[in-house]
Amino acid sequence: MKRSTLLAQLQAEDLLSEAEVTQLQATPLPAGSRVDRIWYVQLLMGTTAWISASIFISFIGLFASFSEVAMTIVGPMMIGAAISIMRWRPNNAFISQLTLATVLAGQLLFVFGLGELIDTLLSYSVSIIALISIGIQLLLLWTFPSRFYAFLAPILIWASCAAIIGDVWSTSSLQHTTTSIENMFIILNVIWMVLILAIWWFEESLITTTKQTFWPTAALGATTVLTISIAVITVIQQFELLPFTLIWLLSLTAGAITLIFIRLLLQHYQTPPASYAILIFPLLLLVPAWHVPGIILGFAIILFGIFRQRWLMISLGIVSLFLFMSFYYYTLHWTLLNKSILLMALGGIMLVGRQLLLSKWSPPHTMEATHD
Amino acid sequence: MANNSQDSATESAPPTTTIPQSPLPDINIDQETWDNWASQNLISITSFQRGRALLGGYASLADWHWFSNYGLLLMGAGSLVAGIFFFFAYNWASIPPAGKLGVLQFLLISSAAIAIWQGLDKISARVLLLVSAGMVGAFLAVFGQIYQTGADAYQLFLSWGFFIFGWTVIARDKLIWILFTTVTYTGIALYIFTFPAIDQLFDEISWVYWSLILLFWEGGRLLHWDWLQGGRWLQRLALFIWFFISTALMVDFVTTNFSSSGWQFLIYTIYLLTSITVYSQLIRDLFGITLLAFSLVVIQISWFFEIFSYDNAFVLLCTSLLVVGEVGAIIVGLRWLDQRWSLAEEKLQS
Repeated sequence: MKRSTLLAQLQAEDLLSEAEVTQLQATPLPAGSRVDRIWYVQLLMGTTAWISASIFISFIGLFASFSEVAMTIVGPMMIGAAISIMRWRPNNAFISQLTLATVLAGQLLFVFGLGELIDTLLSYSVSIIALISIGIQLLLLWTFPSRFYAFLAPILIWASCAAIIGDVWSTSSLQHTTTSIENMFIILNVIWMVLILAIWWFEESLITTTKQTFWPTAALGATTVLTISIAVITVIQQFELLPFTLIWLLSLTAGAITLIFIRLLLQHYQTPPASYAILIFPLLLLVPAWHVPGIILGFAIILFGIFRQRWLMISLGIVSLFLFMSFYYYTLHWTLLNKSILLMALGGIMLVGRQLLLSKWSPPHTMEATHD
Repeated sequence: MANNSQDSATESAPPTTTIPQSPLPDINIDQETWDNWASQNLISITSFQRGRALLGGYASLADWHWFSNYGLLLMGAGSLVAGIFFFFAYNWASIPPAGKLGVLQFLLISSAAIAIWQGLDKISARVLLLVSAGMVGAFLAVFGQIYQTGADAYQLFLSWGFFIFGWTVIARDKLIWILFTTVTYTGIALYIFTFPAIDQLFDEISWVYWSLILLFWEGGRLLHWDWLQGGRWLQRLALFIWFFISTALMVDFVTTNFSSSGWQFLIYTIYLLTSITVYSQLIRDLFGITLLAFSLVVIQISWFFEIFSYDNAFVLLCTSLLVVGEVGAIIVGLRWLDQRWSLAEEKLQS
C-alpha cells in the first residue's frame, strides 16, 4: 500500500491529524538498492559475513585464548563494537550478519573467561553467569537492532533460566527433598507460556510503550524454544527416562491459554454468542492428549499465526502439531490395524467437516475485523 | 494465505481526504516501517492498530475461511491416505503376490487414466501423473522383493527412470522432470559406487550429468518451450546443484593437487567465463552471477589457506578483510549489472 493512501485513509477515519500526516509524509523510509533486498543476494551477504566473522574471531581467539582476563575484557569490547557498527548501518545484510557473529563470539569469550575466573571463588558461579547472560540478552534486545538477534535472545534467556535451575538444584539441598528438577522445568515452561500469551496479545502496546519493534520476532523465538523444550520433555517422559509428574500442568496451561486466546479472538471479531460453542473443541482435544501438551500448544500457535498473518509462526505451529501428533500416534498402544482405522475415521470426519463448513459458511469478503 | 490480497479491513470506502504533498517519493509502505514509526511515537496506538489492519496485519474472516477449508482438506486427505497405507501395511504379509502387484498396478493405471481423462493441462492431472510415475518405482521394488530378482539397487533406479521417461516427455511438467532427474541421478550414483574402478570419478560424472540437464532446461527456455516458461526455479535448482559440484571440484583441486596438473584450472576458467557471459548477456539472471561470485569467494579462501598457514594470526586477519572487500565489490558489481539491464530494458521499451 502506498504511503499516501494509508495516511489518507487514516485521516479520513479521524485517526490522524493534519500535523501528524505532514510529519509522517516527511519521514524518510529505509533506503537501499533493489539488489540488496533480493533474497539470494542477502543470503550471499549473510553467508560470507559469517565466513569472514568466523575467520576474524579465530584471529581474536588466537590472542585472547591464553588468558581468562583477556577473554573477559575482549568479549565485551567485541559486543560494544558490534552494537556501534550495527546501529550505524542497521539495514545492511552483510553488516547485520557480521555483527551478529561478533556479538555471539564476544558473549562466548566473556562467559568462558568469567566462568574460569569465578568458578573456584563462588558456589553459585553458573547461576551468576546465567543471570549476567540474561542481563546481556535484555541489553542487546534494546540496543542491537537485529531481527536475527531478537529471535535468538529469548532462546538464550530460556537457556540461562534452565542453567540457573540446574545449578540451584544441584548445588543446594533441594536434591535431597521431594522437589524434582524435572518439575522445576515444567514450572519454567508454564511461566514461559503465560509470558508468550501476554506478548502475543499485547504486541502493539509493547511496541509503543517500550519504543522497540523486536516483539513480534522475540515472540517467535520464545515460542520456538518452548516448542523444542516441550518436545524434549515429552520424549523423556514417554520413554520413562525421567518422571515429569507435573506434565498435566503443562497441558492444562496450554489448554487454558488456547481457550483464552480463542475467547479473545471471538471478542475481536465480534462474533455472536452462539459461536462461543467453538471453545468446546480445545477442551475435547485436551482429554485424549493430556500427556502430550505439544498438541494443544501447536494448535494455539497455528491460531495465533493465522490471526497475525505470520507464515513463520504458522509453519512452526504446523511442524509442532504434526510432530506431536505423530508422537502421540506412535505411543498409542494399539495395533497398526486399529491405528489405520482411527486415521481413516479422523480423515473422514475432517473431510465431512469441511463439506459442512463450505455449505454453511460462504467465504466472507466484506466483513470487517476490529481490534479492541 | 487467502488470495484476498487486501485485508478485509482495507475494503472500506476509499479515502476522501486529500493529504499534504510529500517532499519524498510516494513508495509502498510495509508493516516493519509502520511498526518502526509506532515505536518512535509518531502515531497513537489506535492509529497504529488500524494501520496494521489496513496493511494486512490481522486475518480477515475470509482468511480464516481459507485456512479452515484447506487445512481440513489437507489434514483430512492426509489422514485418510495414511490410514489406507497403514491398513495395507498391517495386512501386507497375508496379501498374495498377485494382490500386492495388483493393488500397485491398479493405482498406477487408474491415476494415469484419470490424469489423461482430465487433460494434462490441469495441475491436478499432472499431480496424478506424478503419483503414477512414483508408483512405477514402488511396483518395481515390490516385484523385486516378491520374485527375488537379485537386481542391484542401481538397476531398480535406472529401470524406473527408463520406464517413466515417456511420462516425463508427455507430461511436460517441471515436477515430473525433477522426479526423473532425481531417479536417474540416484541410479547413476549407485552404479558408480557399485564399481570401485570408477568411483573416483563420481564428482566429474555428476558435473557432466548436471551440465547436460542445465543445458537442456536453459536451452528449452530459450527456445520458448511453453512448459519451461514462467518462473526460473527449475533452472535455478539445476544451476545451484551444478555450481555446488563445480565449486567442490575446484576446492578439491586447489587444496590437493594444485601443483600437479592444470587441466582442471583451465576447464574452470572456461566455465567461469562462459557462465559470466551466458548469465549476464544471454539469460540475464542475477542468481547465476551471485552463485558464481560465491563460488569464487569459497575457492579463493580455500586457496589462500592452502598456500599460507591458517593458524597464522596475520593470515587470518588478511583473509577476513579480503572477504569483506570481495563482498563489497560483488555487491557493487551486481548493482551495476542490474542498473545496466534496467536501462537496456527501458531503451528497448521506448
